[in-house]
Amino acid sequence: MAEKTFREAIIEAMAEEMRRDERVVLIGEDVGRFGGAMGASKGLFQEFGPSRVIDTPISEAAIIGSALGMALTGQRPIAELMFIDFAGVCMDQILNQVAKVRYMLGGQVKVPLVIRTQGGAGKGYAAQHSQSLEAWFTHVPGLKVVMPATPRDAKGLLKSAIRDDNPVMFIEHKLLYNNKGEVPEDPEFLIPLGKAEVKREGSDLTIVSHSRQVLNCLEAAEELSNQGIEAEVIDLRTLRPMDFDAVRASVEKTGRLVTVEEGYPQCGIGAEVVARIAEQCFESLDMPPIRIASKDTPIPFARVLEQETLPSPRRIVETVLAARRWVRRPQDQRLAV
Amino acid sequence: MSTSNSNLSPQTRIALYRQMVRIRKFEEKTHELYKAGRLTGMSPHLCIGEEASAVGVISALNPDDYILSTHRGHGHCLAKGAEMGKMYAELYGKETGYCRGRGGSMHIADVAQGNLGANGIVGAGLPIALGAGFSIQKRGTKQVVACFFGDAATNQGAFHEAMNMSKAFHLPVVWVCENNLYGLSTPIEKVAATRTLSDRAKGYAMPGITVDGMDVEAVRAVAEGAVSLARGGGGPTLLEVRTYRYFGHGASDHRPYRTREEEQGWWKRCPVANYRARLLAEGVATEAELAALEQEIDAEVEAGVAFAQSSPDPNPQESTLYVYTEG
Amino acid sequence: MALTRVIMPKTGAEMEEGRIVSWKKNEGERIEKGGILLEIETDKATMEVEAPASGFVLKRLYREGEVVPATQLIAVLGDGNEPPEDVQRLIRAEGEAAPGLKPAPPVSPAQPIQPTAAEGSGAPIKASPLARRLAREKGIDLASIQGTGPGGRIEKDDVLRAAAVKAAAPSSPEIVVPFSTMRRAIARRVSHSQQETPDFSVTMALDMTAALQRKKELQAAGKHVSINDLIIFAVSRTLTSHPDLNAQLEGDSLRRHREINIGLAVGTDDGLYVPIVRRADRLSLEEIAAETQRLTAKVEQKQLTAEDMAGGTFTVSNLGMFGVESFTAIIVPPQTGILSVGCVVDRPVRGAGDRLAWQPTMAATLTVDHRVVDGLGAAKFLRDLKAPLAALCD
Repeated sequence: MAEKTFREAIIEAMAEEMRRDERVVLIGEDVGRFGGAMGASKGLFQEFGPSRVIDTPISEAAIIGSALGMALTGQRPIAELMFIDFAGVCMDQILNQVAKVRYMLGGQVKVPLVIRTQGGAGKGYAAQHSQSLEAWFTHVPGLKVVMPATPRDAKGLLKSAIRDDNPVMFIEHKLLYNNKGEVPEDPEFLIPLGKAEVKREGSDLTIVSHSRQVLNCLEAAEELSNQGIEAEVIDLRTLRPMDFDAVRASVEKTGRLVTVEEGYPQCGIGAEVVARIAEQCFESLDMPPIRIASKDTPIPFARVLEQETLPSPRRIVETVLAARRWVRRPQDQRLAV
Repeated sequence: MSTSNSNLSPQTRIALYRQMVRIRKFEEKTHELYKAGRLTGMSPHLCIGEEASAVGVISALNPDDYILSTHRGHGHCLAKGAEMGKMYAELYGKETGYCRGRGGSMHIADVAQGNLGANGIVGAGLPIALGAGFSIQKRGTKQVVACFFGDAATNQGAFHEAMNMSKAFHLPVVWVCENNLYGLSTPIEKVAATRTLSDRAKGYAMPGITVDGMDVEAVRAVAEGAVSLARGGGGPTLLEVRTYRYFGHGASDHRPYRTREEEQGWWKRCPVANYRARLLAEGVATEAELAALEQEIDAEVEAGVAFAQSSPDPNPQESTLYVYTEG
Repeated sequence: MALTRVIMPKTGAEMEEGRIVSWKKNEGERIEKGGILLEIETDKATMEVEAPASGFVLKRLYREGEVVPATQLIAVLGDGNEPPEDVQRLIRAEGEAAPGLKPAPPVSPAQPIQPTAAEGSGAPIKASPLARRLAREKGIDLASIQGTGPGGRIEKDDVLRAAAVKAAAPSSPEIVVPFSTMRRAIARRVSHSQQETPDFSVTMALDMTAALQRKKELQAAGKHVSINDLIIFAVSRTLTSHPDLNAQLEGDSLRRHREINIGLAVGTDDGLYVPIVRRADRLSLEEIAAETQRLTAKVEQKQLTAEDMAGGTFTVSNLGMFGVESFTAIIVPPQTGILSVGCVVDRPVRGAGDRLAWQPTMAATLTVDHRVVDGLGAAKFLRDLKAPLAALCD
């Protein structure tokens, strides 16, 4: 175990996998000599050279297409899409080619491809560089979608994604790169895709989230605990395939569901979770489910506006407290009636 | 055309003819089947008239070279060595088709022969061809990628990204633009900055060659040059193959944007009929030999259709198979 | 085949509702015409309901324990090929025509019942899905719970609290037992009778010497005759000359019944049954005895039918076996009189030669509807009772 930043965890994951399997290559804008716009590929070009770390022009369609072509012809590429907001430029390659080619060709090919990208707001990067578009990709069969919240999860999940024979959208959050956490050093440390994690146990309500908002949920849970309400926080980690069993088990225990996400409020990840809970856990619900998301606007530039737009620990706490008449527990019991 | 200025062997020339006849007869039968309501879905996009392009280029490739194809891809697929039975089965949507009925005409592919797939998105094959090129380069093998696309695709952003990157990285790609003068109903000359599409190569510092796409040996010759350049590490070439699709874009296209005179003019230049005449005139084959060859292909077509018709449908319970690679 | 409606049968003129005791067939099971589909409990008795046609049980509309008004649809039979929409339409049509149902509190001992304000209010109860499930599982009526959630929504904690109260009930000093269907019916009837009928009572001591003698003689001959039988015998004879006491008030008229059908009140642990001895005036004492024995056996075996209890014109009630000397009974509507008797008590009387003698006497109290019978009529009836009693030892 060692303390690493999220960024270091990403670099380590790629380096270890590239050492382990010479078919793993990295391709994208500024990923080689420069070490990546987010610094997330630092040192890889130096270690592996230009045949395995390819600096491309600003040609997103060509980047993703190249990665696909490589995957179809025996390589295991990682393509970096610098900002998820740029997905519009290469959407055909992701949606119509990468996600579908195995199916359309009746299984004649496999697509062992990772598209690493980053998104999210909070740095004042404004509307075209701050989005959380995971719902788009989670919608599409043929893709897998992974979003780690901690350095440990980032490393274990990225390694698994690289070893997966399927296309994986690996979405990082720009505010997480400098966060520190304990990361196992074992080069065989893997976290399986499709498994959520209970980041905090509680019996009064279930909070389901992913990526950076998980940290806000944990902070909110601490404040709620001071008020005698114990929240269980579930980090989905993989959005597609989603570990719904974990969510269901928690809601059956607590009877109350809150989802928190940074994406736009309509048709987001929370909507999928709530729909499944309504379908499968109807009689476990003691309270209508609550979705917390960004406000329904493009992300604003001005800091005060951006902060208002995004979910925050304060907004989560206030929303939970307003949901019902919570009976505070005695301090020593910590069990809401 | 009675003197032979061909440097190809008689066997090769007959082989070229055979492939073109295979494509022609396959497409004619496909057209007949669709009109008779035997095939479902969007009408297949037939390449009747463009046989010399597919055959000329692909005959210059090795078996382990890759191709990327288009929505009008039956010819490419056959020329790269596909079996008619599995192709018809795919058109019929049967389990025994190349794509187990999941792709259909526009996504037909025989990956084992190096065909990385027909594509329903105009220009989408070009970025993928780059990737195949990167693979070859990394492995250090002497393979080549031939990427087919139409005249209209040269206006797509992806075309320009791919042109640029293929040259910037010296990828072993042959870009084959099959210019049949129309993007569905739109004449290319009305919407392209340059009339001669191979001129676009200049912007990407690569050789650009225009060739008569109705002459299979002419196509073959320029293809050989481009392939050789790529195989030798000389980077990409843009070939503009001037050709014509005799039928509409699809079955419902009754071609109001072309005159019958124009079409008749091009029919006179039919690559199959004219090459047949040339082979006879130059004594490469006798009438009897060619007739026999044609009959063989008729039989191949019939057998292929019969195979497809008697094949089972895919199992509906398995409709979600092949979305992901399991395990 | 058309759908077949199965309704809650109206087993008697006064039967207004029945409780479903147990279903004998599940949904989807086949039943033949005449087969027993379910058991119901009415104000009078528990009885079986037969299937009116053969077919599959497509739908059971109520659960065991629920109370349904008479003639309301309780099940639908069919051959299974009918479109589900037809079944739904039939059920909905019934729902629109039928009066609202009262949800029955499930019968369980020591269950606290709070006054239900929601009963009859018609408003849907706000409760979370979890609260509904828990209430269902624990057998708690949602209408009896006060919700503390937003807008008064009943939440899990509210149900758990109600359950805790219910569970704690056995240790409380007071036990509240809910009415059974029969009890409810009796309560309704006697209230009605008490309120509607201006009654009064007259008591007389009856000399039972002859009657007891006769009883002893028959006993020796191996024929068992009870005090009830003696009283029924005497009453039936007396009623022949007091038709107003074997009658029914109808507005301003009095319908004098042709038959004299005497009901005998039989108390059991689960309620009061009143089987009828039909045409008691035509029966001999022994025949009356045979009939009352037959009927009491049926009561004990819980096989008394509605028919057994229908058509009574006068009622006799005896609490003498408990040592009660006399008491006043409440008239069973729509009858005009009821005779209640106590135990036989030896009283000292002035006998022959002014000597003290013991006479077995029984207090008989006649309660009559004053609209029909005056004191005179009542007194005369009691006086006239003596004769048939005395005649038993002729």
